[in-house]
Amino acid sequence: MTNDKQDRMSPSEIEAALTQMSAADWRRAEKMAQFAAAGLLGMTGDDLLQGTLVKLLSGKRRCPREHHMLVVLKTAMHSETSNARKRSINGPIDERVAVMADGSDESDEPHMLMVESEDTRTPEDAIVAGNQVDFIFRQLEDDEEATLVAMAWADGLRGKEAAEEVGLDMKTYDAARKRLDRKLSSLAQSWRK
Amino acid sequence: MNTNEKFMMQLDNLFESYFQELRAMSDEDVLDGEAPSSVKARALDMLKSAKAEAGRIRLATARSKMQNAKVAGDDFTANVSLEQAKAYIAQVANDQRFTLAARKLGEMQDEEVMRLYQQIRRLESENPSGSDS
Repeated sequence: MTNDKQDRMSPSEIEAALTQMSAADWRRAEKMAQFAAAGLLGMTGDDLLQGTLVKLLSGKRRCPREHHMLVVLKTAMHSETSNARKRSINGPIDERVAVMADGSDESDEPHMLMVESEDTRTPEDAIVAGNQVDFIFRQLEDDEEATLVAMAWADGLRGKEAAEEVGLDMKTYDAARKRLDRKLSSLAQSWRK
Repeated sequence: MNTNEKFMMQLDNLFESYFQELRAMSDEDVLDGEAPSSVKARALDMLKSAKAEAGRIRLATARSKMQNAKVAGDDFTANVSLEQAKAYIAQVANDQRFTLAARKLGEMQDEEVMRLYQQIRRLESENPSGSDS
């Protein structure tokens, strides 16, 4: 982690960057929130995105200057969902815990949350993660091509590489990706039904 | 890799791949027919609400810091005589936190008594649920 204030944005700079973010990028952030919140106890996609914004604007989560705001939001939401998975297994966790870039936790430092890559996962996370993965693929049961694309994504592939892996031409892949996007971006609502 | 680790990795991969694919998709495909103005209005509403909540958090944090700084800076010995300080320390001697020090009260230098008195009062200020004055 860096201690240099110049390397991170102030809350007012973060607000300005968020205000200037395009409608399409906001939609991308909303979709990521809907996807990430699916399967998490008592949390909607809006809750996740709103909570992440509050932490960034209150200075509880640092925002590296060199990152695009959408990347900041994505990384912060990923970290929030990890905390939410712990809560859904263990009950409330200490919100003051600071997540450091190296994955270690430090209590009583409310301003030390980072949006750098983190690994705070626990075995309990995996139980909820397993339920989430299961839920995602059940939602895709009626769409074989979208399922194939999701399986390639779950293996870490994307784009042309993913299309080749599952034997789809790019046109078919793009159409399947569009359907998959619609499913994934409404996952949180589907989970709550 | 066990099953749990596999689930974690799959979920992480899905999250990252979905994000990268969303970035690769055209804005038109991402918006999927929704008017940009409608998305932006919703986003700015959420931002406004988040800003208000963040303001409340920052204010609470600042108040807490100010209170801590005040307690740390208070001079509790300002209007207290040596005898009053000794009496006070003797009075809190039954409090488990101070028993050991109070036992040595008779052997302490005057400055040490006042320093101990200051420490006790500061501890009590920081933790009002402790011993009552």
